[in-house]
Amino acid sequence: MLFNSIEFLFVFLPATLVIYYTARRYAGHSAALALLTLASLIFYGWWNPAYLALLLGSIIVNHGFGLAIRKYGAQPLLAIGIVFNLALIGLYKYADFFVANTNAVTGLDLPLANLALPLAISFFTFQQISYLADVARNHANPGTLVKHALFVSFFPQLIAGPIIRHKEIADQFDDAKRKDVLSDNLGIGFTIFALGLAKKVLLADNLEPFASSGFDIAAHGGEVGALAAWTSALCYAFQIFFDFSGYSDMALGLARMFGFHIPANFNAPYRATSVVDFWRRWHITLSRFLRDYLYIPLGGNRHGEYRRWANLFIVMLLGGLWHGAAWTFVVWGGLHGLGLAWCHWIDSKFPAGLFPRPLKFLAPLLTFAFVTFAWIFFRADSFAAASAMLAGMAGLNGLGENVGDDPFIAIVVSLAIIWALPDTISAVSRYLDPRTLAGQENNLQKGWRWSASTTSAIMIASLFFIAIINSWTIAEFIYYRF
Amino acid sequence: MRSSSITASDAPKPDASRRLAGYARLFAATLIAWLVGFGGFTLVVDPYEIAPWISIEGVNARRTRAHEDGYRVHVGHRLLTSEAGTITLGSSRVMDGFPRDLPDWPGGYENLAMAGTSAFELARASALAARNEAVQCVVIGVDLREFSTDTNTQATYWITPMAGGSQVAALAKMALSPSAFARALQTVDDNVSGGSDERWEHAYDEAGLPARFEEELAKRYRYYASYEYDPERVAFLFRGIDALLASGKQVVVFIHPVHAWYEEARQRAGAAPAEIALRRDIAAQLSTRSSAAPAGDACFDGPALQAWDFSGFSAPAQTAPPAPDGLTPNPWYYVPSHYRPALGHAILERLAGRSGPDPVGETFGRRLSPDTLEADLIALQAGRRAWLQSQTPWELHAAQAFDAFDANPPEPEAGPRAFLTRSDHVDLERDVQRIEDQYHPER
Repeated sequence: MLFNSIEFLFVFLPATLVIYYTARRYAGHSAALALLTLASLIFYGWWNPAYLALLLGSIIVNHGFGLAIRKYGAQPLLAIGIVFNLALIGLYKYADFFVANTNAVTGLDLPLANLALPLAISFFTFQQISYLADVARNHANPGTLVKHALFVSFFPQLIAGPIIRHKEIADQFDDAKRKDVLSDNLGIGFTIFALGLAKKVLLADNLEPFASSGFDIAAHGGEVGALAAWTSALCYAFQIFFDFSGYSDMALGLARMFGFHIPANFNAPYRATSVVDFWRRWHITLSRFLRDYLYIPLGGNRHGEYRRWANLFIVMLLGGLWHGAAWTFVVWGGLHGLGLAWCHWIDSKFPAGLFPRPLKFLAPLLTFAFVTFAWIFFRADSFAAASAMLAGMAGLNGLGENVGDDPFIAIVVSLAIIWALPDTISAVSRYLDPRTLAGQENNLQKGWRWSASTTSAIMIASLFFIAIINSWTIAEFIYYRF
Repeated sequence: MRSSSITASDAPKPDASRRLAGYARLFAATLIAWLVGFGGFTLVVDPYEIAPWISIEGVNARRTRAHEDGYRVHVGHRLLTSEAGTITLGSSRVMDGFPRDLPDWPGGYENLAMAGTSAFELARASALAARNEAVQCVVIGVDLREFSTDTNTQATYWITPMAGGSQVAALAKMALSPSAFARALQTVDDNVSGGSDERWEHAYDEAGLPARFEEELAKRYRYYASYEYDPERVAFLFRGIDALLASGKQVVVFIHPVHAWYEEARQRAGAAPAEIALRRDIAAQLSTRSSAAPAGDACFDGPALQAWDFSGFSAPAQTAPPAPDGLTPNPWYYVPSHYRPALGHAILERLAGRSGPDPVGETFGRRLSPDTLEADLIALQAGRRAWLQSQTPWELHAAQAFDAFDANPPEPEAGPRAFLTRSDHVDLERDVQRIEDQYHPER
């Protein structure tokens, strides 16, 4: 069930809200959480009920590990638990990748498992690891099985994040005395959801054909002209931002409708002034996860500059691989690893910044250019397709076919929105708590701020309506496939 | 233990909460007003004539826009509700080129073609029709156009049941769709003002056909000069057809009989390799399904899945274009790309092994299979050679026009290229597997 589907908007969401609040009022907090868990499992099972067993199995086993860790201590149970989770994702997501590469290197003909990738496995695996780590570090209690199940399966963030750490939400599940102010939850929740839906269906989905055009030609072995290559690359950069940040906004809004506060995932990443800054603004919860559960355990910056760069590079390679079992994702991660190391080196050599004040505007432009270049490897189906795109962008195939005016208009509109308007969490920051702002309080953009006025009620509701009636193309969220 | 609890200071202040209460109420009221007003109006007017519950004289008694947007919204629902034993699917060639109804057809007949369709939509339509128990036989008309890298869908595809979900959900999407709303407004305007869908109703006025016949020489040359064949779409269509076969229906795929001028435009514009590839790919798809179980209630002799090739330089295709004065129309064609229902009817009769009211001869149409593929390709080439040697005035006229285009090629009709996505495959596969599991759970 997609957030922009008619079943979700007009059946699942209203029904779940009514059931949850009715249960909370008349049957108690625990019953409401149990029903919310059930609704989340139905939401997940809607795609393919067969994978519900996998999700439930993962929940039960990890909960068992959590209880055991609390009772018998972290080691070796934490390590075993983490290995269990990595084995699960390894089997479904990376087994064929590993076998295919082994076959390619050794000349063997080992059979591929051809297992379908269960939806959201990358996300719930990370959440399970976070659960085990937080319990082992005494940052959270194992809780009840229902609360653990809700932590993993909570439908707003189940499929594509934000990646929530157990300690960030467990106390909200435990807070039975929390008083729900329905109008606050629904007013704020629906507003953020509407902004996210508008980003997805009015912006991202309209950019998709322009973005796909060049990449598809490259994937089918064609030559891509400069016009198609550049418009596709730029449109994809905008599409993935509006798509993923739109999804994340919707998740934030949905959670808020039920009175839960989850961390924001985006904060105007294309205004970042360096690659380091970019990763503080893009997929914030993944960055935090990789930092806390990979970069710091690897030694972080505690063993000198060279080790720090190596750690950054390793973390980003693995971060790339997390997105998909393909070398193109690894290269994308590697490029960002190099970018991070380069920016840290620049910071150490030029503490006041690389550019003098009049040229500071170059920093976000160059960062955006680098990120767009790296997206080529993220989006391309193969290195051959990526090379074809890059050859096109380098002008090796001439200008190529006329792509018309529409992609250029889309690029100008996207740039105007991204650079002239504040991102969602800045726009609604007056109504967000520190937990949702996720450390971005001092990094908000100036400009328009949403307030609960009569005008904005009519405007946002109308925007929501326009987004709804443009939702029916059912374009899948890009991050659903990870 | 707890890191950063939600505190009272995080929650909006009482004054803000009061404002939020008013905000939430107004937000809900505005949204509901939009949904009810917009959706209710579209649903009541029902411009695509899906569920004509309400018919008000002067408002929507005449559904003048039912054929708009390629008729696909209406068709999407009829695929589930039609009670005809035989249905035809395809593009405007089938929509305009087959009868709308054949009262004497055994088991009933309904033309469920959609203008501007593609292999993608035809595959989804097949998967949907597989759910209709009444349908026994599905005849699908195709040619190169359906397998091009043109767009997969028209905008209104998404508000039809073909896009997935239940019929009720599709109805709700239709009610909440800007294009359906626009059609509803047009319908009401037509009913109030006495207007109609001029484009649909006068598409083939005889007086204009000679000029349109002539225009197509350049138009088709321009299209096929930039044509790109996508073999993935043939496999995609046949995967949709698998759902029909699994549900015990008979399926006939046929290649359209376009006029010789159109055939020659394709040849001259360089689409001949694609013509051959299409036939080879169809034959290959048939080959992998040669062991398909017989159809439950077959309408035509032969296996559950069969293909026919009505293209090439057949006798109807070689007929003279309409006279410029408009007094002598072509008996089989409106324009080179679109034949008349008489020819569509003749195709159905030929498939059924009968001679219809307008017989076209035994040589019209060839079975296409792995065994007959090479003979079919030879027949195509032989037919073209014979036509080029016929030296009829209309052959010479066309040749002269194409020589001029070859010497000074017009700008190709290039649009953005589209390809099937992973999501397209996943969605179709899920629907087809559901049908296969339903009818053959033992597999």
